[in-house]
Parts: sequence; C-alpha cells; structure tokens
Amino acid sequence: MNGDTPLRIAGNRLLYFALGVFGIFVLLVPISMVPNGMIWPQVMLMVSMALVIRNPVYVPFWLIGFLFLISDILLAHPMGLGAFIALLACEFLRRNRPAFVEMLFFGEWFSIGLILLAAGLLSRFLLVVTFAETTPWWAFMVQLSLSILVYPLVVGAISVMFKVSKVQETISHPVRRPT
Amino acid sequence: MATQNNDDVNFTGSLARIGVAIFLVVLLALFLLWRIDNPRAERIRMALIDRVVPNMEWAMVPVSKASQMVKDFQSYDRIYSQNQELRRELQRMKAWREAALQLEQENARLLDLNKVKLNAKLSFISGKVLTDSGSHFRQSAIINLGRLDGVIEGWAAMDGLGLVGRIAGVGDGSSRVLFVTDTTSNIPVLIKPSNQRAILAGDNSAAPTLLFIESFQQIKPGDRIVTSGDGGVFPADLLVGQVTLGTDSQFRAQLAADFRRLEFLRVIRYSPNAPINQPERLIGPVLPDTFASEVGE
Repeated sequence: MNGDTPLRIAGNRLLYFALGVFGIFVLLVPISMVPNGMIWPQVMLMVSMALVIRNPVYVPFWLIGFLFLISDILLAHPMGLGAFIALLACEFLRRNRPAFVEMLFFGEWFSIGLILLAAGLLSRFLLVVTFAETTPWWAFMVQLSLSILVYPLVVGAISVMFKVSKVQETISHPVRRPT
Repeated sequence: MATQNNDDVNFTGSLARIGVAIFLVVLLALFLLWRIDNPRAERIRMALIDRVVPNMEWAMVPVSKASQMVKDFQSYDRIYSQNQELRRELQRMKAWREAALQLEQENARLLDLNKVKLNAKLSFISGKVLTDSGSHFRQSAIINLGRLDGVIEGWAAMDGLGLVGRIAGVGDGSSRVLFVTDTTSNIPVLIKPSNQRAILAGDNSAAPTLLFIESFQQIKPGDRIVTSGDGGVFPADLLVGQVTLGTDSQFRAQLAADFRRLEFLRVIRYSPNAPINQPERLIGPVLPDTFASEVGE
C-alpha cells in the first residue's frame, strides 16, 4: 500500500487477471485427448492467497470472484462453486491478514495448507450434500498436496512479477520505492 | 490525518464487506441453480463458451500446431521401421479389401433376393476441435459446430473410424462433445459375433469398461463392439472398438477412434423417430383439394 500509485495498482490487477486467463488458456489447448491422469495444482488459487497476504490491494474481491467464475464456466466445473470457495478462502485471509503478515514463512505455509484443506473439504461437502458428482478421494488428496507443495514457488514467482513482499508492510517508516 | 485515513479505510472496508457477502451469496445461488435446474445452467454456460472460445482460436492454433510438430518430429525418429510396418500392413489390407468387395457384392445379391429395406445412409457434418475440457476429471471437447449448423444435442460424434462421444450442450456456433471416456458417459453397445448387449461406461481411463454383460463365456478379447441403437439416442452399428481384457480382469473397450490425434470430428446427423405431423400426407399421392378437405373433417 505504501507508494502504490493508481497506475501501478491497475497494472498489477491487470497482470493478475491476465495470469488467470493464461492459466485457463493453457488448460484448454487441445494437445491430447487421451485421458492421461495428469492432475494440476490449483496454481491460481495459491497466487490469489499469496497476493492477499502480500498486497491485498492488487486482488480485490470482485476480481477474484470474477476470475474464478470464468474458470468455473470455461473448464466445465460445477458452476459457481469454485469461485465461492476461492472467494471465501481469500476473504478469510484478508480478514486475518495481520496475523499472516507477522508469521514466518513456514508458519504461513502450514496455515495456508490448513485453509486449503478446509476449503477443499467444504467444496466436497457441498457437492455431496447436493448429490453432485465428486472427484475420487485419491485425486483430491493428490491435488491438495501438489497445491501445497507448489506454494513456495508461487510466492517466489509473484514476488518477482508483482514486486511484492511481506517485509515492506511491517516497516513503520515509509520505504523508498525501487525505481 | 491518520484518523481520517482510518475512517476512510473503515468506510471502504465495510462497503467491501457487504460486497463480498453479496458476491458470495450470488455464487452460492449460482451453484444451487446449477444443481436444481442443470439444463438451464448448462445452456447459460454453453452460451458463454460460445462467445469466448471461437475468439480464442487464433491464440490456440500456434500452440497446438507447435505441439503437433514436436510429435511429428519424434515420429521421424522411427520413420524407417514405421515404413516397413506400413508396407506389411498395406499388403494385408489389400487382401482384406478383396474379401470386403466380394462380401459386399454377395451381400447386395442376397439383400436383393430378400427385398430388404435398409435404413437410409447416415450423413454427417465435420467440425474442428477447438479446446479440450481442461480438467483431468472431465473428458470432453468443444467443436466449432453449433445450432446454426443444425447440430442437435445427443448426436454421435466420430473421428474417421470410430465413435468418440456424443453432443452434450449446443451453442450457436460451438458445442461440447462428451467423450465415451468420461465417467458420465454410458452408451448401449452390441458385442459383435455373439450379439451380446452391454453398456460402455467411461471411467476417465483410455479404455472404457463394458458393464452388464449377460454371459461372459461368449465374449473374448478381439470381438468387435458397435453401438446397438437401443434407447434411440445413437444410430445402430457405429464402430466403437474391440474388446480387451484389462489387468483388473474386467472387459474393456479398446477404442477404434484415435484420441491422440483428434483434430476433426464427424457429427452424425440422426433423428431416431422423425415426427409425423401430417399423417394424411404420409402415404399415397397428393389428393385434390376438395377431397382432402372432406378427409380432413
């Protein structure tokens, strides 16, 4: 928030959105139609969570909701459910943001893992309650662990791409913006 | 100034809080709509896909072409052995072609003797695959044929040889093909020499399972599988593949369609029971006006 010009905010929001659209695009490219059993981590959810902790201005709630709604629709997921879960998880983080900013990285990683597990269980619960088809348990666990494993990489990547870090926030005196 | 700032933050904060709450409720409502009125929700989804996906094609083409080039390049590696293999196969095929021609002639003669009325030949439209489903748990693709091309939900989609799936969801200019490998796909089939009926059920693997087989003794790996046409969704006698015995000792179908190179699909035009709206015009010559009106009353 320190030294964020409106232009920079808009640029980074656009970057976040473009990243999401690119992710959907990569998943949709028809390279092979053979069922190959490849399970992808939920990269975009991890990006959103890491950004909410680091600089929540870049990921307003409407942008998260909109992006995940698009991905739900285009990727033939249960409509609205993925967006609901993602928005819920991110807004939970936003409410409790100070605690996460103070945490060391391993603590943050662990908490993110727990939140992700809770979010995944809630999503499965909603599917079961409404008698919808769910993915098998093993696939759920594989995706969950992959997502958690990929989190440090995501944090590294977004700190370069969005030029965000947690340290800037905790310093009380204004920090000179890198030029 | 600090307090003013704080107030400002609180004000926008509470606004955002309301916004989040509304957004969450809307999303949950959307999910419930999807569960309760699934066809309508899927129509909305298809309409949106119809807007978006055809516009993405320009970006898709370079990527998919590049991946094809990589695959082709890999196949240059074994070009000699492939060539030899193809020659041998061609030789065998020539023999089969001869046999097929003779059988066709014999079949035609026999049909003529029996005065059998055959079904009309099926016609088809070809379309291009735009995207795949983008998810491990869903086996489907979007093709560039839609309502404007006359595509109707439920029609069968094939590649050059075998059954690929059926149309599930039609937009104006695009539609979704649900593959036979998807877990929600269940298709009645016939296993050929023994005429055993079975259900071809996808399970997210490359070889769908064959369920509800009556007598396992009459089936052996290598038998041909064709659609049975039961249920009136698919035409009968579309080639599906061959029976194989999986490692879990379950009968599975080795699909005739080549899912690795699925660029174009044929959508089979088929209307199982054409609606008869004007029975008086069904048989016989067109009646003169006066007579027709009498009959009508």
